Amino acid sequence: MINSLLQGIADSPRFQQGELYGDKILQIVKDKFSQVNSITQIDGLFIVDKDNIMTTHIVSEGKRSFVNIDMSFRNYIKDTRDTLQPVFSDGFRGIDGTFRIALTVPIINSDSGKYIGVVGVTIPTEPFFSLYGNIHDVNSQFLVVFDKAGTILAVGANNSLLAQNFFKDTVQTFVHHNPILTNLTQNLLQGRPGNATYDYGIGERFTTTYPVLIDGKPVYFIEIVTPTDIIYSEINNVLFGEKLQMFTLIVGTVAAITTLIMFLIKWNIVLNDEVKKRTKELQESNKQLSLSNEEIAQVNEDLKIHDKMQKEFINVASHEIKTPIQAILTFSQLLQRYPERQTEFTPAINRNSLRLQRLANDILDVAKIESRTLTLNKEIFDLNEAILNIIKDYKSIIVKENHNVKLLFYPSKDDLLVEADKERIAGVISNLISNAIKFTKGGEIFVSTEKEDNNSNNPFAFVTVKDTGSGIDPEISSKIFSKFITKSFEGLGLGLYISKNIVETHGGKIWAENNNNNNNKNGNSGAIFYFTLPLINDIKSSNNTIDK
Amino acid sequence: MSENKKILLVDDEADIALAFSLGLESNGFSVDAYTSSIKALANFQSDFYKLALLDIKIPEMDGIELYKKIREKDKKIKICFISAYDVDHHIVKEYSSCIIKKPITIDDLVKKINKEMQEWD
Repeated sequence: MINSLLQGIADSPRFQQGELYGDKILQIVKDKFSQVNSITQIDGLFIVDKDNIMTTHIVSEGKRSFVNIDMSFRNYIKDTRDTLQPVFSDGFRGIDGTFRIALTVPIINSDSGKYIGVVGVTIPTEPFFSLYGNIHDVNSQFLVVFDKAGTILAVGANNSLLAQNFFKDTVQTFVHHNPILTNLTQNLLQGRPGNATYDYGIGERFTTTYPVLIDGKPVYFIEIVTPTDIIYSEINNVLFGEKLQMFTLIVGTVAAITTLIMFLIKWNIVLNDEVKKRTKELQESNKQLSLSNEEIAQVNEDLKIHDKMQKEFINVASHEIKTPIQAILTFSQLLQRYPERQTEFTPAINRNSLRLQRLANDILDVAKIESRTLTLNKEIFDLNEAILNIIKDYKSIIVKENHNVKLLFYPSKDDLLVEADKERIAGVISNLISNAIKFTKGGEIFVSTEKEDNNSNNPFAFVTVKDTGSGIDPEISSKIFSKFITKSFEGLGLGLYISKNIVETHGGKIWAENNNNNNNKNGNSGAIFYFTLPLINDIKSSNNTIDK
Repeated sequence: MSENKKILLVDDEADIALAFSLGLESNGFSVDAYTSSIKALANFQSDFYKLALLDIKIPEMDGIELYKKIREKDKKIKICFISAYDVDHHIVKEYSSCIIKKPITIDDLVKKINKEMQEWD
C-alpha cells in the first residue's frame, strides 16, 4: 500500500519532470505524508535527487528535517539508485536514536528511463511491526523481526536487543548461544521457513519462522515465539475442557445409567409386585377352581347319593305299600274261604289297613308341609299327661308284640302346659318311641320331661327319648331329619322329617345324638332324641299354618 | 310214592307269612313259615322241602344269601323269590328264574308254585 503511494508520487508529472522541491512539491509530499500516516505510522517522507541530496523532507512533529543533506550514506538510497527497484531497507538507527526501516521507490522518467531521484518514507520499526503482533510481552506469544543482515527490527523479549544483530555477542549471549535457535534463524535468513522448540534458560519456547516476501524476494524475516507453557496451558485448557466435557459426559452417562438402573429397579419392583399380585390372583383362581371342582365333585356325589336314595325310596315305597296290601288281599281271600275264622283274620286286615293309612297320612303330611298347607289344631294341654297316655299305649304294644324292651317315663315335677296340636305332638312322641322300640332289641327306653326356664321369660318343655339300641347309623346321622332317610326295613323314612317340621312349627327344636357314654352289651351306644316346646306363658300367637 | 308238597316259606312280615301259610295249606300244601332267615336256615333239612319261597329283603340275612346257603345243603329244592320290592331281575335271575311279585292272590300263587313243581318233576 505504502509502496503504491510512493510509486504514485514517483509517477506524478512534476516528479517525472524532475521537479523535486518547491512549494507545489512540498504540498504534494505533505498530502501524501498524511495519507501514508493514515495507513501506518511513519515519521518522515523524503525526496532525494539523483545526487543523493535530500530535496524535500516532511517529518512528524518534533522530528528534525534533513533537507539538503547528502543521503548517500544510507544504503537504501544507493540500493534504490543501483537497482532502480523499490527497496525495503535494513534497520538503521537515526540521529534521534529511533530505530527505523526505510521504504524507497526510484523516480524514473517513464519516457527516457532516466533516474531522477528517490521518494521514500522512514518507518520506526517498533510501532510498525507491533501492528502485526505482540512485540512487547515476552510472557505470551511475540514477534521477532529481522532484516536481511540479521539485525533485529522488533523484538518482544528485550528492547535492549533492538537493532542488535542476532549473530553478534549481545544477542548470542542473551540466547545463550542456543544452537537450535541460531540454526533456525540462519535458515530463516536464507529464506527457509521452519520451526523449533528450545530453551535458553528462560523457559521453553516454540518458534515458527517466516520470510516476508516482496516480489518473491525476502525483505524481512519474522520469528513467532511462543512460550510452550502457554501452549501447554492452552492444551491443558483444551484438555481440561475436554476432561470437563468427558467428566460431564461421564457424570451425565453415570447419572443416565443410574437413572436407568433406578428405573429398572423400580420397574423390576413394579413388575415383581405385579407378578406377585398376578401369582396370588392365579393361586386364588386355582384355589377357587379347585374349590369349584371339589364343589362339583361334591354336587356330583350328592346327585349320585340322591339318585341312589330316590331308587331306594321307590323300592321302599313299593314294599311299604304292597306289603299291607298283600296281607289285606290274602286275609280277605282266606276270610271268604274260612268265614268261621273271622276273628282270627279281621285283626290282621285291620292292622294292615291302619298301616296303609299311616303310610298315606305320612305322604300327605309331607305334601302339606312342602306346600305349606299343614294346619295345626292347637289346644292347651299338659304335655306330661299326653306323653303318659302314649307310654301306656306303647307298653301294651310292647307286651302284645312281645318286644324285649322296657319303656320307662320320668315326667317333670311341674306341669308342662303347652298350647299345641295335641294329635300332632302325640305323633312326634309316638314316632320317637316307635323308632326307639324298632332299634332296641332288648334294652330300655327312657322318656323324660323337664321344665327349662333358664331364668328367662321364655320357659320351655324339654323332652328326651333315650334308648339303649343300635344308635344312629353314622352314614345317616347328619341327615336323619331329612326325607326318606331310614335304616329300617319298615317305613318310608318320613317320620322324623314330619316330626321336625311339626316341632319347629310349634316354635320348638328337635335334635339327636348317640349316647356315647352308655355303650350297651352289644357295643352300641343307643340314641337320644331331644325336642323342646314353648310352655303356655310363652305362646304369643296362634298361627296355625306352617310358613317357613 | 306220595307227592311231596312241602314248602319252606321265609318272610319277615309276620302277617304275610301267616296269610301265605294259611292260603297255601288250604290248597293242599304243607308249609313251614319263618319270619327269620337265620331260624329258617338253622332248621333247614335237605331233601325235605320241594320248594322254598323266599322273601328278598329280610333283616340279618337277605333272601339271596339264604338261597346260597340252602342250595349248598339241597341241590334239588326249587327256590322261588317273592318280594314287594321292585326286584332287580338281573341280580335275582342269576340264581332263580322263579320270581313272584307281591301283591299276588292265593290262586295265582298256587298256580305259580304248581307250575314250578311240575317243571322240576
